Amino acid sequence: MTRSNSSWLRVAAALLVLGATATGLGFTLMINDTTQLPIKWPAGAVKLRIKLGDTKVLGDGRTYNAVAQSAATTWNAVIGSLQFETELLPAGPAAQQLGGPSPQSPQNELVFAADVFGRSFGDALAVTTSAVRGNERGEADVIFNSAYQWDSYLGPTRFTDQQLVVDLRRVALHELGHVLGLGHSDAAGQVNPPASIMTTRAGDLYILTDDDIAGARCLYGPPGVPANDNFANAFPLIMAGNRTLSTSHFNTNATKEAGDPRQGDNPGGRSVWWRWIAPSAGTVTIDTKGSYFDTTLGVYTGATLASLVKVADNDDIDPGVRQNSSLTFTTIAGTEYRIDVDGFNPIEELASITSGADNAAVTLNLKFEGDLGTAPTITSQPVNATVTDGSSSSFSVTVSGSAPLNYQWYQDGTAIAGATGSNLSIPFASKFQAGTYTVTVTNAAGIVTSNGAVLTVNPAPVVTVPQSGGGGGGGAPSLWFCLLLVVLGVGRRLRNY
Amino acid sequence: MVQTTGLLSMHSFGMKTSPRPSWLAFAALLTLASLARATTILVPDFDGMVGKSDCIVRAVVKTITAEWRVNPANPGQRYIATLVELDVKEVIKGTPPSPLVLDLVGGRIGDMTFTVEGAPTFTVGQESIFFVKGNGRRIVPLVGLSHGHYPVHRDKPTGRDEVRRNNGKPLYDEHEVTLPESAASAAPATNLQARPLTAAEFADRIRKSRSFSQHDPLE
Repeated sequence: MTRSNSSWLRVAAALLVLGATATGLGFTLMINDTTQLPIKWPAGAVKLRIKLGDTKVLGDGRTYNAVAQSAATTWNAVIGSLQFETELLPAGPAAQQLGGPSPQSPQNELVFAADVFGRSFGDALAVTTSAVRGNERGEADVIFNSAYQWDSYLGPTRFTDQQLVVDLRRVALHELGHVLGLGHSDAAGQVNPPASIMTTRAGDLYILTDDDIAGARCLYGPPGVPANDNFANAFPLIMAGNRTLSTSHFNTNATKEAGDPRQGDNPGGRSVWWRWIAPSAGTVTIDTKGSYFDTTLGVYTGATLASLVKVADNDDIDPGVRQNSSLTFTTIAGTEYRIDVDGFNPIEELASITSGADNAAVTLNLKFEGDLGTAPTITSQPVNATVTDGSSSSFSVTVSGSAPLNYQWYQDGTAIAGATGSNLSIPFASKFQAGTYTVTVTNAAGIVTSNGAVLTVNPAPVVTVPQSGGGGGGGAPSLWFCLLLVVLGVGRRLRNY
Repeated sequence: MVQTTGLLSMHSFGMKTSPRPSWLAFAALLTLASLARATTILVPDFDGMVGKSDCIVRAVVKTITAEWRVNPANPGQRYIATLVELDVKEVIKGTPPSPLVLDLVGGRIGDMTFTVEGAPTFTVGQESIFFVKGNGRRIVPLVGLSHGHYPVHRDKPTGRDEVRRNNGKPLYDEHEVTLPESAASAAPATNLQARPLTAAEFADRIRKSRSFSQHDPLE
């Protein structure tokens, strides 16, 4: 993004609806076909004035307003950089700017009405209208068709005397999905899209699905701070035999550390980090194509933020038009490069204010032209082990191949957190550690998986307590005393370890 | 360019048999319809769509013009509307005015785009079959919203003018309009020789609909 006085006044563009291309996804987003970016709200709060009514009690004991508010809360729980803020008001007509462009004071309202701008709803239960400039949404209104009977319930759609009784909550979920920027999940010719609340017609589904959440998170990310927010927690990029790789994450709720570099001639503010070791001298192209926001991109060398040396950086592929980033540079064999993806921050004048940096789902692509080295080969496999409950055990693997080699151990196919060395120690084996262990080893040239090694954990010997004669001071030892003996035994084993 | 609507809609339901489809195709269609009910309980109906239409035309989008409007019932409400002028090639049902200009809520003026989420999108030069209803009185003057819009696509290898659904999927049988747009067509699975309907075939099926002579009262 080139510098702009106001993000609200970014260059206008015609719109089109693009379907998600990934297999199994159905969600669609409205895309600015000039910038190729989705149209969404800036990070922060979107205020909703809910004017559906707070007097009538529905089937689930709530009011219209409360039901619509719960739909907003449901969306809030799954997205990160944007939250609906609801204001519950008595039922009433929409403001003067109902659904229309309102440059003075946009108001996002949820209302019941018999028409939309004096026109019939046609076949619609509800309508969402939006005002858009450039990549950003400026106002959205949801108008529910008052010609229908509305209630709140779970399960299949209901009818009373053959008349449809519409569940307000599921329709509100759908329409608020539009407010966020989701299109219809069946509107772009998708092949067998998954279940979604965002299909064109109301049905029995009354909750958000994975597809709905995935779509919303492309725009606003998940709740929480991304794990690679800080420089020290950069995610490794491992090519594993491919000259190209692509990875996805988010920079929503990411922050700017002290010393975080300025890149693409922009202060940014929501940087996330990757690291990559060049396998040889060659040429690498890194880009953020496919990211859902206006990115900046930088590549550096250096082990700390304070010692970074910039290798290359970029703001836009096509300045001000294609707002993803791309750069190419010549690599030095064995050098670790730090890759920083940030969001364009339009508040150039106040570089300390970083919350305005753009953010959403990141896609980072890397293409390397050079020698990848020698793929890893296992020369010594991990071997089976049998231990007693509470004992220690370990597995190891020996591998040849070009450095650096990256290890990941698995128990019964599940990656073990932190188990990333050539040896795996199990200090206290129990029945939960019993299973089959494997390790995958990767480098730039390839990946190899070891044979499975079985850990068998036998029960510990039972502590036998002599039977007492009963009575007086010679009574049977208490259960607590037995437990103490067991604990002492375990403690001894641990000290021996 | 109009970017319209993500309306959540309902339609009259009750699937009706085709006067002509083979038992096999019909059985397959029933199977798909029953699958569709898992997520959609109100299904549009081909005969109902024909009956509800004020007129049905095969036409090419000639011009698209957006303009500011004022809600006559509330002069304080301004919005953008779009006029889509159609060059009518064939009148299939009814008596459309001449010229036929669809009047929709939504559109783009300058750097402002006003959308009614999910409504069909039109481009100049696109030929389609339109099921027109309530022009100027509805926010989107098509029966079933996007279900009332069937782009005609010229298949280059065969030269056939094939009918597609609004989302681009080929339409193999007129009764497939009962299916959600996300559903797959049964025809290719049951008959490898199946071909999408041509515009002429679709128009013929419309004329043979049991509801062809029906005229809904004006809204």
